[in-house]
Amino acid sequence: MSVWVILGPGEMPPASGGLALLAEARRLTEPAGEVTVVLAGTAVPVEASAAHGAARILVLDAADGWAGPIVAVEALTDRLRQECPEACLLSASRWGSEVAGRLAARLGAALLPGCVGLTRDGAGRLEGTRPVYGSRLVARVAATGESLQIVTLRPGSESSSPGTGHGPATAERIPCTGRPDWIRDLGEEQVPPEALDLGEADVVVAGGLGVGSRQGFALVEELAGLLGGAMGATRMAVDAGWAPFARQIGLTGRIISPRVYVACGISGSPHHMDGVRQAQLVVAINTDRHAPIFTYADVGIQGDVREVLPALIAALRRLRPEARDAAALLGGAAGMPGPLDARR
Amino acid sequence: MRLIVCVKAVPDPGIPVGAGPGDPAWDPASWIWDLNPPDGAALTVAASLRGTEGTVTAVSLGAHAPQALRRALAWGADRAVLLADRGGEDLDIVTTARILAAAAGRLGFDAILCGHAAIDGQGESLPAVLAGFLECPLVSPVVEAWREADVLVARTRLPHGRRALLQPRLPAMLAVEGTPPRVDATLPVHLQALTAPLDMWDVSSLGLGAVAPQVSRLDLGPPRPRPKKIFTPDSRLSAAERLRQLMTGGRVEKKTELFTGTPAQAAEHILGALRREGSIA
Ligand SMILES: Cc1cc2nc3c(=O)[nH]c(=O)nc-3n(C[C@H](O)[C@H](O)[C@H](O)COP(=O)(O)OP(=O)(O)OC[C@H]3O[C@@H](n4cnc5c(N)ncnc54)[C@H](O)[C@@H]3O)c2cc1C
Repeated sequence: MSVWVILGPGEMPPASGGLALLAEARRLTEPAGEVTVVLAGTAVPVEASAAHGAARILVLDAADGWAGPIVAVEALTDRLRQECPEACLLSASRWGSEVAGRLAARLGAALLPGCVGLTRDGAGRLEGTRPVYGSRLVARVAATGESLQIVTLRPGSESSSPGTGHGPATAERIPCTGRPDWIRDLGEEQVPPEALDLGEADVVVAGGLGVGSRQGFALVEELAGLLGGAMGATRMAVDAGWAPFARQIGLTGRIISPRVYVACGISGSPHHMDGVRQAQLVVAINTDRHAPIFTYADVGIQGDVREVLPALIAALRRLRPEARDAAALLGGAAGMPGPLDARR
Repeated sequence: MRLIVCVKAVPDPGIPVGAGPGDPAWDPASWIWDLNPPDGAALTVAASLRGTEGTVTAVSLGAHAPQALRRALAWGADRAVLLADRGGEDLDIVTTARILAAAAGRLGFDAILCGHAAIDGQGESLPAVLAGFLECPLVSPVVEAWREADVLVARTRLPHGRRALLQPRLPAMLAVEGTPPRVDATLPVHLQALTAPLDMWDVSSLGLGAVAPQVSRLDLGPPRPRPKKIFTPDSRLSAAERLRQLMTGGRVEKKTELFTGTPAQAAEHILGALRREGSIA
């Protein structure tokens, strides 16, 4: 069986998403089969893919380093028609879904979108499992004909195992013709921290009674803005009128699962902490070394928020002096392409 | 502006789906079907783009499509087209998109909209496949769209609280995110929509030839229960400590060194942690 793995920006090895798809492809092609990897750009070393079991690597040679979905589909359609692999695997990311959808329309392929598991029967036909009806049921789906099967896998669903090389892989560049001007980019904006939905934000900076005043809350908001995050508050702070109820986190407020939660002047009562139990990194700033918040914190600072917050804000501004907006500070914007690049 | 909104009926997420064949609640006919909420958001965006001379046409197919179309009429669609096909529910995404593209071609449009996802989890990728058949730009996920003179501008969601402003070439496909407005149509409007005529188009009249699904559903069942982690207190701890852990739901306290330096040092300490986590470069 021959399988193509088509990787978009942010998914290419050594990114975990790409490695997992490669592992999945290797598992499906065993014992005799070949994995071809398509890298949608030149900004990534091809060796990384070879080291993880790709027998052949196709690099889309796009003008600005990364191939957007339309460019990628244009470049791949003919190759796929000629080579007729049995299946293509993509990530169910925005880039992957668009490429998969457009390729399926072009090639009349069978599309198995959003799968969480994948198996193969003896004839090389793929069987995907996907959650339906709000994950209350699981459907097993399979292609009916002999056509190309295009599968998108949800991130985190693949059974990844450490990769092994197949020896040196051959790399080939596929030229991409210009970038279609289908979509004009009019720029980006940052949703201000007091408006960004708490559930959407990766970073939440919240203030409690220890912030002390409405002016103090302006610092909380400023920090949230610099980190591209949302502003949150405890019930005490909301009751004091420093933040609207929509910003309240906890049992009677919003229950959220941000990547980073910065608690400023918050004691850490269970009513509040129930709302952020899923946060991955908790930073707490409090003057009281016995405050319960420190038992939840990964980074605990014993200090006055009125001193630590200005220092933190100043340090963030020093990092990128011209960065008025948060976008320039965000890790995603530094070397990796943002989703903007992926749109073209 | 001529606008098409592809809508879909989905089962009400609040109703039980039953444990398996034999359970009366397992039968889809017993479920409550209604408009997919993101499609409702797409209708709202379409209504705001329509202008005075434009039209909003809702299009749907599938066994429960009339429910979705009537809701769409109540929420501002001018016309509803029901694509009738014997295959009904069992069509896969590519075939569904092929039929919708043919209907859109016949209707003519400046923009075609739909919800960015179906909450029943069965419509994933439809906007991308539809944009593929129509060979038009796809803008997704749209949170807002408006007209500026002759052009359409859409605001889409990016990670980290960012938004992009995009101006697609028309005709374009917009996949809209969100839920319909909280202010519902009035009862008389709903009642009128219940009896309004639906345009019936037979799929065989769209000139697609035989439409055979490319993907079939082998079976449908309850998800395999995930192995649940059950908390057990560490047996090396004292009885009192074990009891305390049980009482607090097994929350294990993080043993963090408390940092007590100057504010500037504290700031560096926090930045270091954010950098390791990847939140800042
Ligand atoms: C039924 C019920 C539901 C509730 N639901 C919620 C809810 O949903 N959300 C919620 O947040 N609360 C809720 N509460 C309230 C909750 O129990 C706490 O009272 C509240 O969260 C405490 O808010 P706080 O941490 O801001 O204030 P406090 O508990 O007063 O803590 C202030 C902290 O700030 C520190 N501090 C003071 N000055 C400074 C300084 N200069 N610098 C740094 N630190 C300083 C103090 O040491 C203290 O630890 C609920 C309560 C009940 C009874």
